[in-house]
Amino acid sequence: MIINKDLVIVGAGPAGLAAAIEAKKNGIEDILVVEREPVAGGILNQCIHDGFGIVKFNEALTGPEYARKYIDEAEKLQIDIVTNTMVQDISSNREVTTISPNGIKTYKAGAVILAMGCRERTRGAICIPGTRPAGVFTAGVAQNLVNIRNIMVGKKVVILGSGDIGLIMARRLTLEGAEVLAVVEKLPYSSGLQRNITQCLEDFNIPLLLSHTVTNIEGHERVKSVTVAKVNEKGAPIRGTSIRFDCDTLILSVGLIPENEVALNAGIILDNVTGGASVDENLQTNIPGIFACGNVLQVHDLVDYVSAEGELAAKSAVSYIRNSKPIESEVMVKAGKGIRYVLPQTISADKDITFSMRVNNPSKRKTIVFKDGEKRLKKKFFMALNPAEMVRIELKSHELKDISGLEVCIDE
Amino acid sequence: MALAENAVQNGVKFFLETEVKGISKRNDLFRIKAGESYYYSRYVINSAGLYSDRIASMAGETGYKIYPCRGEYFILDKRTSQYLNMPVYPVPRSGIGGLGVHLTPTMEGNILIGPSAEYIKTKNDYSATKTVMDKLFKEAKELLPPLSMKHIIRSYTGIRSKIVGPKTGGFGDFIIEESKVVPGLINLIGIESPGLTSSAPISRMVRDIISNKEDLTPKKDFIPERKGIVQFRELPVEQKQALIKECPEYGEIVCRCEGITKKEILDAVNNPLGVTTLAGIKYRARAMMGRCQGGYCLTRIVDILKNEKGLNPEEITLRGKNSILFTGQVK
Repeated sequence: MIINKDLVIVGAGPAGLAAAIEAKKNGIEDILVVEREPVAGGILNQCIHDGFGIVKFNEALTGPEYARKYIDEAEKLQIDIVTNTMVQDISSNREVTTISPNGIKTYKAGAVILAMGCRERTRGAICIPGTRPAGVFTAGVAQNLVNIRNIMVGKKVVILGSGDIGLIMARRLTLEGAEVLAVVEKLPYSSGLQRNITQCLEDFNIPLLLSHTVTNIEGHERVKSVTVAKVNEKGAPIRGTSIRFDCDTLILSVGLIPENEVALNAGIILDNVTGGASVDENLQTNIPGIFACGNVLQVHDLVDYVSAEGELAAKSAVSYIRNSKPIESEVMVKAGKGIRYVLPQTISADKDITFSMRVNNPSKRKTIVFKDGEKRLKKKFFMALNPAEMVRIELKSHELKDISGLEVCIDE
Repeated sequence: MALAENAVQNGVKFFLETEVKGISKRNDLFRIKAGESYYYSRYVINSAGLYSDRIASMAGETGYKIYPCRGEYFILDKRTSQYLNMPVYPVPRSGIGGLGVHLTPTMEGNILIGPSAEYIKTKNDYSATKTVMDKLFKEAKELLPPLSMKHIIRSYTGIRSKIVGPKTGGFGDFIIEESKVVPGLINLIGIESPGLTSSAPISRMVRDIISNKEDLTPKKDFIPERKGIVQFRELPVEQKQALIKECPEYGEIVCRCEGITKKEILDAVNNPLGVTTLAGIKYRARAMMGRCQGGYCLTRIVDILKNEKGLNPEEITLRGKNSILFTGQVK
């Protein structure tokens, strides 16, 4: 028995909630949000530190506070959120199959919005040599254990990866009585926000070892020590630079991977660099009527932009539900010199578009340029550019009129 | 695990985390000191693997030596199964202590790369090494060109109990015999690959050794079947629906990557051997074996262990003993 729904949203985290609310406000009645956790809120629920919502609400909220604003709004609008329910399958003709203790259900959706967020890169995936003792945790799991389940993970900690999650956990574990011996970062610069480096490392005198990585883990049953070495420009360990840290815990903050397993099975094409779907300016994937937003589309650093992306996906989904006309996106957007990726990957260039992108390396006083062949369409100057901070630049429709191609690059 | 649980069903007692410290024999009875107790028996079957030489020696038969030979493996993401549907072995080169790095698609849809073969000094060094990992990847890529580092989800190692040392090289035949020095001691020494496949015939050889010395009668009420844990993910939809109706815990997915349900974890946790380690759950139910390596399910399994078995955080271990995961409650 297949149940019809106007809109099915996968995930009730910040992206899914924002999308649901926007869709309801635009007149879509029959919405279903599917959430695998027992509560809505997504990853925000375990982010008890503040700093969320500075852009959107002009306040520094904690993760749960930011989520609560949306959950309350969704409740007020009577949006149907099913929890403890996992999406098992999405077909290319928008049939969504879910599983929960209430059974297996299939919905035929007028449109689908993907908002599944990310999973963490693991020790196994980065091939750290050594033994496999207890005491190695990814940062998100450690955060969940400490903040949600009130379980402490260790006493003497080394953290690999200076992304925001690693930095936040350095502080969190210190506040809970652990000794954080070092944060180790493979790149020559930190991949987290500057405010986190200041508030999580410098304020607590936790050493940051740049251009270093973990080369060995020792310990038969529990972590006993972790060996760290300096790396060269290629990321390869340099002989003779090893430092051995006696510790009982290794926390890994080595990257987020958009959780697109269910999307792949539907035939959705992913971008190799972002790990998320390849989309047009309406955030529609290659499958008509299926949209993506939030961390499952690209890893964000500010939740405020996640919400904005959710709202855009919803507006597009509403448009699609109302007139189901396939939107034609002919122009390919290319990430040029200095730019790691640009979203959206294809555009139709008939309206204002906000492009999201990240640069490859930190730099100062650079200009980002939008080009159509040799023709320069727009440029924007930045005092500082950082891979850790997503750049968003809007181009108006008249600036994009009649273009045949689009490349975004850093001016030399 | 299936063999062990079937043994328990049929009356065998398992004493886990109980190390044998000494074996002596008086008249026709062995006295085995293990853990804090003494065990008495007429026969001792020495299937101690890496330490089978030590057990033989404890019982009075010196002269055996086990040479540990480590093998490293990579496990590849299930999405690589599209590249391979049968095992692939390189043409063997002489002198290496194994069959060479080969590719094995598993029943579950992963691909295994390995194993390597490296004689090591100590019997409990299960480290994976950079040199070998690089070699495994390079040799595997020759056999499977689409292979990329991002396909790897985990590496692990095992240690073979070899009875031939590095100078001799190659393989030694299995030792499956009653000790000539200590009657009643049946030695199974040097059982490396293909040891698992050989385990059934080896057990029959052991039975024959004993039945040559005394009459053995087949057990009348022997239970030949061990009911495995239901693999929910493999079932057709109608059966899944029926199971969920009967038992809603089949509707709660705990291991997202492998599709393992809460009921399967509960069945794994409530095993006949009384094992409550994470590794025990992993090997029985497959949870934590997927691409996120427990990123989603670890916290849920911890909840289950707490609620089902009343374990406090500091009692949850990876593999027993001191492989404790947590230090306790948050302050």
